[in-house]
Amino acid sequence: MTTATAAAAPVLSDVAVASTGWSARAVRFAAIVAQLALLLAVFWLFRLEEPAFLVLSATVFGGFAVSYWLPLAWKEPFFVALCIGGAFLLSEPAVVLAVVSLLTLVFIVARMKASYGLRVGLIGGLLICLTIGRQVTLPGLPPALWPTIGAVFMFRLIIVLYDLRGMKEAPSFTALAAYFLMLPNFYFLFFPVVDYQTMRKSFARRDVGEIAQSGVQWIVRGTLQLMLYRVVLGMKGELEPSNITSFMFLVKGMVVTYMLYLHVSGTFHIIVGMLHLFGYDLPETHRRYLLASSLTDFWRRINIYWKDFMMKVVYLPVFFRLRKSGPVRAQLIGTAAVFLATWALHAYQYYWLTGRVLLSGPDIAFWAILGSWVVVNLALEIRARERGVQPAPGRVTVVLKTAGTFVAIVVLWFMWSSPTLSGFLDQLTYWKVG
Amino acid sequence: MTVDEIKSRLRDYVLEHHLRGEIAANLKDDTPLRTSGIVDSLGTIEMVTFVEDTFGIELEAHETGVEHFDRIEDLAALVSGKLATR
Repeated sequence: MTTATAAAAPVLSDVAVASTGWSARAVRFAAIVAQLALLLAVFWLFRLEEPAFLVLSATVFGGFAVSYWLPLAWKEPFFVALCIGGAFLLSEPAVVLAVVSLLTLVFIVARMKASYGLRVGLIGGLLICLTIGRQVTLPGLPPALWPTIGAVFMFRLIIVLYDLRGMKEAPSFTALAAYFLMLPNFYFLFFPVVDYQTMRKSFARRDVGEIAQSGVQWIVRGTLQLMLYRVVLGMKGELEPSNITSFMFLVKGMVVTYMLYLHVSGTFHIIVGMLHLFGYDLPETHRRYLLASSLTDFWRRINIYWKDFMMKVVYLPVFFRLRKSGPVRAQLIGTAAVFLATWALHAYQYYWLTGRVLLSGPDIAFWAILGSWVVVNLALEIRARERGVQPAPGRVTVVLKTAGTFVAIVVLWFMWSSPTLSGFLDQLTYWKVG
Repeated sequence: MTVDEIKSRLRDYVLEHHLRGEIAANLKDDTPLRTSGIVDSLGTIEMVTFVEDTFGIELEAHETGVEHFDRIEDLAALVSGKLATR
C-alpha cells in the first residue's frame, strides 16, 4: 500500500467514528474494557503463559484504553510509541535498541531515491549479514538478541522487499515501525507472518470500536485454545513413546501430539486480537483446521498467513513466469515450489530461533509427503473444475472425507514430531519393540 | 468502461464462480474475497485469467496480491487504472 492510500484511510474512518455518538462510543468502550479486564483476570488466575505475558497483556490493554479515544491520525503513532516503550518492559534494552536501529536502517534504504534493484540488494544484503551474524555469540550479548531480531525481521523483511516493487511511494517510518515492531512479537517469538499490504489496508477499514470488539473475540478464542492446550499438554506427559503398549495408546498419543498445535493457533489468535484493539482489522490466522476435508483444504485452513505469504512470494511469481508454457503445469510447479520453499524457510526459521540448522528426516518427509499430496489433489481439483460444475458432495461424503483427512494429518504430524524416521516406525510397530 | 461497469462484471463473475447460490445483494464491493477464503489460490489464478481476458489487460505477479484481489472495489480500481493508461 502506498503512503498516499494509507493517508486516505483515516479520513474516511474519521467520518465513521464521528458518525457514532459520544455516548455510544463510551458504552462500547466500557464493554470492551470490562471484557479485557476479565481476560486479564483469566490470564492471571490460570497462569496461561509465562509471567511476561501478563506484562504484555496489561500493556496492550492499557494502551487500548488510551488509543480508543485518540483521533484516528494519532492512533498509529501512538501504537508505535506503545510498542517501543512496551518492548523495554519485555526485552533487554540492548535488544530493543538493536531492533529499532536495524529498522531505521531498513527505513533509510527503503526511502532512498534509488532503483528497486539497488534497494533490494541493500536490504537483502543486510538480511544475509544478519543471518550469518546469527552465529556470533560474544560475551555479554543478550541471549534473546538473535532470536528477537530473527522473529522481527526474518520473514517480514522478505515481504517488505517484495512489496517495495509495487509501491508508488516509499513507506513512512510509522507504517514500517507499526509493522516490524508489533509489541506481541517481543514476547511471542514464534509469530505469524503478517502481510504488510494486508496490515496497511486493514487499518481502520471499518469503525475502530467494531474492530476492537472483534479483537476481543479473537483473544477469547485464542485463550480457550490455550486452556485446551494445557489439558492436552497434561495428557502428553503420560504418553511417552516408551509407554506405548496398545493400539489405543498409540492412537491417543498421535491425536494428542497433533492437538499440541493448539498452542500455535491459540497464540496466533491472541496476537491478531491484540492488533485489532489498535485498529488493524486483520483476517483470521486459522480457519477450523480440524474440519479440513482434504489435504489441500487443510493447507488452506491452517496457518493462513503462511499460506498467503507463500502464495505471494513463490506461487504467483512462479505461475506468472511459467504460465505461457501451460497454466495447469505452471500451477502444479508453483505448488511444488511452495512446499520446497516452506521446508527451506522452516529450517531457516529454526536456525534463527535456535542457532542450529534443522536437517531431519521426519521434517523432509513431512513436507515432501504433504507437498506431493497437495499437488495431486490440486491436479484433480483443476480437472474437476475443467469438467464444469460438479454436484455438491453429500453430508456423508463430507463427513467421511473430513474424518479421513484428520486421520492422515494425525499420522503425518506424529511422524513430523518424531526425532527420527526409525523412531516413528518403532512407535507404529510398538508390539515388535516391546 | 466505467468503474461501476467493471465492478458489475466482477461481481457477476464472483457470484457465478465462487458464490453460486448466494444472494447477489450479500456480495458487497468491500466483501473480502481472498482473506475470507471465498477465493482460494486456484480461484485467484482463474480470476486473473478472467480479468485479463475480459478487460484485455495484462497483470503482473505483484499486482495479484490481496491489495488488489481481496475486494471487488480494489480490483476494479486496478483494472480501471490499467485501462486508462492503455
